[in-house]
Amino acid sequence: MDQLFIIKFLIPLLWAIGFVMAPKQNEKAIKLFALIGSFVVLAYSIKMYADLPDPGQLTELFKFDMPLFFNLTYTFAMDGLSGLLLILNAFLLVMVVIATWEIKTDKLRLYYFLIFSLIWAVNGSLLATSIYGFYIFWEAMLIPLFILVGVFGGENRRYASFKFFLMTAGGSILMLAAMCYMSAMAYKLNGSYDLNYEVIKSLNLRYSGFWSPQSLVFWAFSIAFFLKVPVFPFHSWLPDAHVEAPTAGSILLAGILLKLGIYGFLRFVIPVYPQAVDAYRDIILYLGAIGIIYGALTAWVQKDIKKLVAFSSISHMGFIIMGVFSQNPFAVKGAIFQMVAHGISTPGLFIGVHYLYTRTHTKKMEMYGGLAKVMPRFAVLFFLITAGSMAVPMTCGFVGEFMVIAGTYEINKVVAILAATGIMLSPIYLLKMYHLTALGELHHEENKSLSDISVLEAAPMIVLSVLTILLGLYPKLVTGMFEGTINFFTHSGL
Amino acid sequence: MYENYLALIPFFPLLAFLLNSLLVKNKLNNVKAGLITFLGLFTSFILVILTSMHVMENGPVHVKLWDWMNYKNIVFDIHFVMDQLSVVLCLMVTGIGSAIAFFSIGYMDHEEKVGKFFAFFALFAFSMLLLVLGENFLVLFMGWEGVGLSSYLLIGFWYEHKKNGDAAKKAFLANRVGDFGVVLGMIGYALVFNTLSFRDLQHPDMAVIMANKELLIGSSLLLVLGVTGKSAQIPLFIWLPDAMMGPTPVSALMHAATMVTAGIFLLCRVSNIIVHFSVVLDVIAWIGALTSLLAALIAVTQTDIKKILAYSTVSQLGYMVMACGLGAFSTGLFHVFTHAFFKALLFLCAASVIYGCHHEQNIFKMGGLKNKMPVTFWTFVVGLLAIAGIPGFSGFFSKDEILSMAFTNPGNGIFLYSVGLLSALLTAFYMTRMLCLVFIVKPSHDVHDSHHHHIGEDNGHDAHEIHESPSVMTIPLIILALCSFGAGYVGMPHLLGGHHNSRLFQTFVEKFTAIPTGHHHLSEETEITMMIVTTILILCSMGLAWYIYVKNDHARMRDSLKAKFLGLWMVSNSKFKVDELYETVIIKPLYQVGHFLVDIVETHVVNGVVKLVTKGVNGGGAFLDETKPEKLEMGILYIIIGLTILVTAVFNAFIFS
Repeated sequence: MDQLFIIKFLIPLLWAIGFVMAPKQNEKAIKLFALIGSFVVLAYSIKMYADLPDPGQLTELFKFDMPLFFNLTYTFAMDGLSGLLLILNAFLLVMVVIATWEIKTDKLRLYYFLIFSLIWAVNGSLLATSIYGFYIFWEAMLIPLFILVGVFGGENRRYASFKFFLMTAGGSILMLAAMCYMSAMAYKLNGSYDLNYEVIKSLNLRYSGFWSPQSLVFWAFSIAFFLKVPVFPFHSWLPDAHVEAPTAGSILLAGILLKLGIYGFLRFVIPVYPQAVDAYRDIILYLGAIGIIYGALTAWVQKDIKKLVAFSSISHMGFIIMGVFSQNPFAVKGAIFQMVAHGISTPGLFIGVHYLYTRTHTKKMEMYGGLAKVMPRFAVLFFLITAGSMAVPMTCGFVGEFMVIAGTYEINKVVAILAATGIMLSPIYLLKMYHLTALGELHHEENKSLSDISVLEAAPMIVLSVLTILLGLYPKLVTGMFEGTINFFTHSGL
Repeated sequence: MYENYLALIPFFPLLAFLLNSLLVKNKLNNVKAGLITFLGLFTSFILVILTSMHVMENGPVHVKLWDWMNYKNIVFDIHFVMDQLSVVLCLMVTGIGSAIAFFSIGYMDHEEKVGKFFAFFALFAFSMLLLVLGENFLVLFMGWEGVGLSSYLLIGFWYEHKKNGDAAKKAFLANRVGDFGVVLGMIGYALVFNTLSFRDLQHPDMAVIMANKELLIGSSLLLVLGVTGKSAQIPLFIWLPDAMMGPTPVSALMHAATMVTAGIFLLCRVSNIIVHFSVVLDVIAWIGALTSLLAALIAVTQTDIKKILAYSTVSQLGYMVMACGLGAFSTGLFHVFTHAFFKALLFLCAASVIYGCHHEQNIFKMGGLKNKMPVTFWTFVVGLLAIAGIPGFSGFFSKDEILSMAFTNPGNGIFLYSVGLLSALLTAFYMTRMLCLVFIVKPSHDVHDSHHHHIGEDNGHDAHEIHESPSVMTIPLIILALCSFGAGYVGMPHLLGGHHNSRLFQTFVEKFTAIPTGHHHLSEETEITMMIVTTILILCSMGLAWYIYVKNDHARMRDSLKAKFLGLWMVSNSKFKVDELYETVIIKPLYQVGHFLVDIVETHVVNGVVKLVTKGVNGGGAFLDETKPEKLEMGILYIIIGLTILVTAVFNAFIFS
């Protein structure tokens, strides 16, 4: 057990509180404070991962008893997977702070407060292994993002933020109900309502058809996670939220928050409800495959660039959910890799969109065109990131998709073939986006005087592009981090 | 030592790419940018020669760089090999690549963004070397898509014009359809053989093949889909003619000599497996034969010099694919080898002509260049004789062997032979037509259907300014012309080469590929007769073109012919409307589906459920909101009753049962 854990864990929250107390006038200092904070969070995340004795095992970091409150315990533990996502989360925080450095708002302190508390809540749900702890942080994530979208968002932000909040919270209620039931079962078994990780794994709910407890609890959890990922057809909040969210919100939403749904499946569903996973695997595989095609086709006809990227997310998340549920070790590994790859390419695209929007004040792609002429630096970096999203080999996007398709092919050929059509479909919408944006004639008079991105603005895109290529060439850099945990996420039923 | 050479071969083009792309800001001058890429390629060329000498004597050289991923006992590693197949392709890529890079220094002299051009050029060479040196499917596929990507970048080099961008996108998408096949095919192979290494796939276990027949046939057909994408065969050939939007030297290297032959290379790599499935071979052979004929038919009526060459490339690729389908993989690769020289030569001649004529590409607006551009003219003649298959020139040897392989193939060989012969005749015809119109006849100015495919100066065509290209361009032409003449002698038929000097190339390659089996034996007399008859027919076809375009007033002759065969002419000129067909049958409906999903499914179904729930909640709220207190009480009562029933039911069902 790590004595300093609680301090390390609270750093983002402390930093967030720091913004509340910061003097309002000095914008530069606030921004600098945020930048330092983001690097501190990144450093301790890496340190925490490095300190793990064995990334393949779940290592308990901290335990917190509440004897007066139904004898519940809150456990924090970490393994390679949560460590990886912890680092991704902190890394995206750095990206967000740098990419939105030039942000103009009179609520700067609120802005950073929300971002840091969001990061903290994500860290909390990644580390909590008792299900009540997970649930608390899971719900806590909603609040900062809700306010972030609601305050800093676009024109239709109220609608979007409410929709996002209510839909994901609605899913969580199902999860809560299932948790109550599980608590009751735990009480029968152990005489305690506590639901720490060992307890949930030992519950062994009865499975016999759809109306049996394991199946119902499985679906309650699944629907909550489906809504978060989001899996087709539970995605209706995502395009709205992305379009209205400020860039910071979009980056964190696509980069890490969606992955929390997948993380939930890996941690709290797959090892816990083996028979239900087996029984409903095919349905979910098909949902994933349909999501890939649906997301691609709907992305293709969009006129709003941010909406296009949002729908492309649905398509990419289809691969991940498919990989996870194929229960083939290779595909699961690929799905986890794809979480990272998507966490690099989609934030990169959103950063690009951010630069376009701050310059042209529109997200309609027809208002761009030929920008490579005036913004060559942007055009090159944006292309590299688009290529990553398009899953060109030698970029990170390819690794995950290839592994998922290959792994799934062994389990269910039809689904794998459906998913592979994503290879044909992804360039259709991504190249459409790139061509409408950067290529062609520079026909809008007002675009002729646009300035290229500055070195500071280019920095996050450069980092993301380099990672795109590096991970494409040497994927073991990431897979090595969580390789040992794969056995926990593929149950022995196969 | 050779391991290090091998690892360095793709490295130098990569270095050239990085130098050119990172120094772009510092405004390298055009010649320096070109020299970087040329030197990168040329250094690799020397290394290839050194390594290949070693390979010819001692067998393949391997170098394993790092593990990419592993799955069960399948290792996906970054692993290069120089074996009999890679030797051939490597020599072509780096050798012809260097010549074309050198040529480009002259050709791109007056352009802007030359650094970018040479960066992409080097990126292409790097990817192509990955493709041919890859020891397993994974590295091959990295190169496979890498060449697709660099081809996309180069086709869209003048991206300001939407047409160029569209052509680039089309090329990438068509290739991606093929890649869909390659990915699935490769996964299928991996699962059956538990390996992706070509060394293991060269000697597959027959028992495994027989046990997984259906899966392997399916996977092989998916790979064939990939081949049709990269090598521009039916049904995916449509991208190649449009790819001519890129700078012409690039068309010479990628869209004629090397990249498009990757499909044939892939077939050779898996030849030892697909050779066991006659259905797959038949599909390949027919795809090749029909593509060859279709493209030749289209080429006959085109007016753009690069489009003609593009369709000619499609047609020749069809030949190579047909050879593979006949089980004669080594012969197919031999045609890849000879074709690389003469097609690169023809394209560079076209580039020289276009350069000399200030970016005019319509052959009807050219004419009489014979005296103004003598080097270009004579080298073009060599290229023409080679592609037409005149004895003594390289194309003759490879084409003749493919035709005789078709002729002796059991089953439907005779049909394939007829189709092949017909497209050979058409090839001789349209190439002679091009020669006549560009170099020999006087220019005519009454043609209105001009095609300005190239961007830039629209400063019409002025006969006085036409000049021979500088020697930086003519030297590569002469080198390629010599090769186009001589390259065939490494693969002479038994009849001409005797036992010691015949089929040297093929025998070398057959150390890796499958060996043709089951063909009838041809007597020497038949073989000679066939050669002579074919040659006479080809000469007649060339004579016919000469008669129509030189002996007569070609404009009038053309009109009268056009009037006579208007239907045929229209079909050929409109390229069989394949583009339009795909547009209406696939792309538009798919786009409509997208619209349907967004307008109907997304709004009314996916969001509809959400709205319905919202409405229900609103309705319930409105009901409770009514001011009458008894109604509120009733509401609360309903909720309590409902909850009680629910909780009791749940507990009864699960806990106390």
